Amino acid sequence: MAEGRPVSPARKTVGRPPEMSNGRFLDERQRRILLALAGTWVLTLVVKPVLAITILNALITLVYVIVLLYNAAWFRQSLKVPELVQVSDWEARSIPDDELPTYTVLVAAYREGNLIADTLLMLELLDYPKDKLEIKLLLESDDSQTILAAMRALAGSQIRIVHVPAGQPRTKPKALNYGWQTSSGELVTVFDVEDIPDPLQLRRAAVAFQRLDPSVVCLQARLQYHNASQNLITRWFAAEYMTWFSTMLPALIRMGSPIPLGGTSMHVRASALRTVGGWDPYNVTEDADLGIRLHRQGFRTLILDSVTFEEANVDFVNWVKQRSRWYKGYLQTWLVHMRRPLDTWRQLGALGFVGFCVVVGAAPVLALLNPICWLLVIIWFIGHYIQIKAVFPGWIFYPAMLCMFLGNFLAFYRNLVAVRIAGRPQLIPALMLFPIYWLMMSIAAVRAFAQMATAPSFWDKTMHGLDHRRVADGSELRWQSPPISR
Amino acid sequence: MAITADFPLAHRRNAATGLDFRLPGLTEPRVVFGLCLALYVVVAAVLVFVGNVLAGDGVSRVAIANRILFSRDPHLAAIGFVWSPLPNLVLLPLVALKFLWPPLVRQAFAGNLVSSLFMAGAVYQFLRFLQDIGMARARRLALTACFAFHPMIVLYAANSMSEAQLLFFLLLVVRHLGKWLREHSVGSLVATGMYLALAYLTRYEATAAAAAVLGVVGVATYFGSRGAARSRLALAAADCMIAITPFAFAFAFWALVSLAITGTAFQQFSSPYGNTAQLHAMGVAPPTPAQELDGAGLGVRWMLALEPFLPLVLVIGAIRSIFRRDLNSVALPAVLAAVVTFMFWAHSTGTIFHELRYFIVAIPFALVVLAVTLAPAQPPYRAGLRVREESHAAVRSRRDSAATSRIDAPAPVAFATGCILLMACAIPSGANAILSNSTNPDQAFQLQALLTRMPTREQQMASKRWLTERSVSSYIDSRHLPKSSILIDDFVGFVIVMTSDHPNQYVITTDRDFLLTLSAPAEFGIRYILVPPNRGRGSLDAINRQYPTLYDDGAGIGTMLKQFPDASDLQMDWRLYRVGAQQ
Repeated sequence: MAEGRPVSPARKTVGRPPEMSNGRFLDERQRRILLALAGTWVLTLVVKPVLAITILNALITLVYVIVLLYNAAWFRQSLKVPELVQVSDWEARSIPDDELPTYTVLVAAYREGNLIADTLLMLELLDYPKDKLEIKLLLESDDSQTILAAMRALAGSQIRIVHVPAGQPRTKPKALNYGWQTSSGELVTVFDVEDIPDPLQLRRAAVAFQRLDPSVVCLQARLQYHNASQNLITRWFAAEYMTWFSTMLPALIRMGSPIPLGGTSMHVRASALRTVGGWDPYNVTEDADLGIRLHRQGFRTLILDSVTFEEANVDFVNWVKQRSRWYKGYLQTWLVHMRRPLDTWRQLGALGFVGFCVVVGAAPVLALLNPICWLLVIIWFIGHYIQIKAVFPGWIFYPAMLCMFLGNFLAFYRNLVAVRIAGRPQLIPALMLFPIYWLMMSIAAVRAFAQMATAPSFWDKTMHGLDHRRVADGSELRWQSPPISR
Repeated sequence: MAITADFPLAHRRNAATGLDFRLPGLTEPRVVFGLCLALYVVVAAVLVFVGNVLAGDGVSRVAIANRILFSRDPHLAAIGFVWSPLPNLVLLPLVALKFLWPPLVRQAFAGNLVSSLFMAGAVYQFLRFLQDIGMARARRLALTACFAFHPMIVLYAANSMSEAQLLFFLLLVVRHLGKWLREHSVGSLVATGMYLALAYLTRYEATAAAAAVLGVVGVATYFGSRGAARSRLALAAADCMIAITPFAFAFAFWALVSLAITGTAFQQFSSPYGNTAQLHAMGVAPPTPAQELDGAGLGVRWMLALEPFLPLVLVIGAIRSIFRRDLNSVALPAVLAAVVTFMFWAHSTGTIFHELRYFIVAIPFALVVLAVTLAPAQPPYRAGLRVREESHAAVRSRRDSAATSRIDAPAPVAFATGCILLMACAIPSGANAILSNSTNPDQAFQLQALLTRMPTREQQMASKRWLTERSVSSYIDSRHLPKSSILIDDFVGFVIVMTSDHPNQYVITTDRDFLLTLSAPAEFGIRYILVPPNRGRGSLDAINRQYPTLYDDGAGIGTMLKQFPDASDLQMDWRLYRVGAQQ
């Protein structure tokens, strides 16, 4: 697979690579439109308060209706057998080494000295010819503790340490860009320090890329948690991930929607990564953003049936930090791609555009709105206040009520189905308490919106290594999907 | 589908967002659907426009849809909370089109169209079910004919009742449950659950089917999967939850909406118009044990009138499934058996009115039992053994290899022909049942009047139902009254409001100011009150409950202006009162 190969027949020509965020949530035009809208609304609120609130209500309900319909559509799609790219162990092993492309593996770490030794062990287990594999450990140059730990563990290994110059923004995408610019691999992937990837994952990806249409430039491996049963939070988190990677992402791909990539184990052709200009250093969910930008260029992403085990967040505060960073990043991603909404629409197609708005834009917004809606429902049941009734005329009330019932039903049911498809019925008791998890999401959303104003590119570090036990080797883990039909 | 060498092809197919715009081909089930629909609509037109055969509950649903859209106070909550919502909701689009063709509402023909559509859909689903279980063409078409042409099925396709919808959803449940048992696909289990929920929102009887599905799914997964008892139990619980969660949400949804709007969760029991109140009003007392026995005997006779060879089919089915050791052949009929049993119990204990229609599920029940008996044995259910690559072809090839064993093979031709002929006997027997006063007391006279040249007095009276209400309506319309000037409880008087050209003249029960207006009609601008006699269903009329002597003597609030004597057997002699002090 030569570098100069024409990348994709489906690739649409764009004058310049899609915009990067440059550290700002809104560009000048967005800011002006938003201010104008907000001003008009506040003015209406003063003159005709009921009208103003009714309009806002109608818009919110419209968003809920669209989200509900879209979610129902992908849920339906997800019940069909998923289009996972499958490469058997035998296929992965039997490809001669000299036919394999060169591979760059990037691992960014910051203040994770406690995990580095484990990480290196996992990386050593990757089954790939040494002369074609380039592993770079990206460390912040002022993070001496991690650097020391890494240097101690690295003795005699082919893994290279890259010192990322300190300075703002101090984000993972900046480190990835820095490390990747000086690397030569035809294929690039990213792992996190706490990851336990399928040892054959690189070979599987390489075989798949050779087999697939050149327009497929990215393969996302499935992420799972190895410590799912540690406590209630990890159970919820695991169920959510099963829904996400085993049912939702394959369904989105089938529907032609762009998918937000996971932060690790996404394998991408270097040529395509170059076309889109690498990662957005200011975006705190650079992975999701990259998925959208690849799709906008006409590139396609598929799911590789190979598992990377991650550590689920076991701690409430830690979880909220991580989730609020995700929400912040999703908002950032959505706003950046909405700077020229018509271009985005044209490049993603109508359905893809709706999917992008629902999956990336609506998720943090609805997490913020949900508790408010619940509160309204409860207040309404208690008091039947006439003021609430006034801003809920029938044409808003009935769709809103239907959204509440069907939306909650779907949110619960899709997890149930995903857990069953994954063959993990032990998680069902935790699902019964899932509304508490929704509340946690809302707390994270509040934090995300607050940070959006104060610290847009601040990378809230997630602590790793809080799980009970590290899996020493991958022998007891299952790397491919269980044989259960849909 | 795993993406392998054929990927580019798969890519092209799915690139168009998975949507496939091909015109539907003329497959066997679609042709059958079209033919049945045509037949049912013609029969419906004859019933409505030639014979004035209108089913009260069916007409009242059209009236409800009409009042949601066109009353003086149009709002969705006017749907009422005594009965399930779905049969009313599906009428809304057609009722909204009444300006194109007034008989849709005036004659309540929208209801007949919808019931025809759903019954043709039920026939379609039945045929697809027979295809799914691998039944050969000749016998599956013969069995479908036994279903589609059964007089009871034709009648309830044409007469606008919600039975058609119930059968449609129940057959969908049976079909997808069967699919799940064969292929163990989570998608089929989800479909089963969704259709159960829709069946519940159509008719409360579906609760019995839900219980049966729960049992079948639990047993099938527990005994069909491998591993330790504990993990099998967890899997069984998971599958049960997938099957029942939609139903549970539908149940909670309807109860909560009812609670939010009316203040009680289960209007069926607590409403003054609910089933309980209606039974009481019609003088149906709780039966003594001896009467229960009589009721049970009656139920058995009625069921046999609809399906005379049901017991024989049950015996044949039981013997064959014992020899085959086949759980599937018990599991699928069990869903319908649960509904039949529940209705039989309700009938015997006097929980519902004695009406033939409550036994209609016995017809698909008998046919499904026979179908699984005549079909080749289904592959045994084994969770976890089935890998997802296994296609229909693999299932079929296993079925073919199973066919080498005699007991697993499809039933021999002579035997199958005999059985199907027995089922065909239900057609003349069913015709007799719906036309006989002893089995179908509510409707027999109306139907007889349609078929005879020299109707008797009873037959004539039965065919004049709702004519009085129509004349009341046109009389009121001719007086060009202002908005909100007539008070009526449209629980009994639904035909009056439904057939009016100016429904906003009427203040009706679901209007949000009804109770206030009822307490002091004159003060709220009411000029006239329409009231039925204070007996039978008329005693449930809100106006009669508020002013018990209004019908007889004006109750001090009005003077009688006009009486509309009813020539039908319902004997609803409406009276129109002018509001004001008695002279």
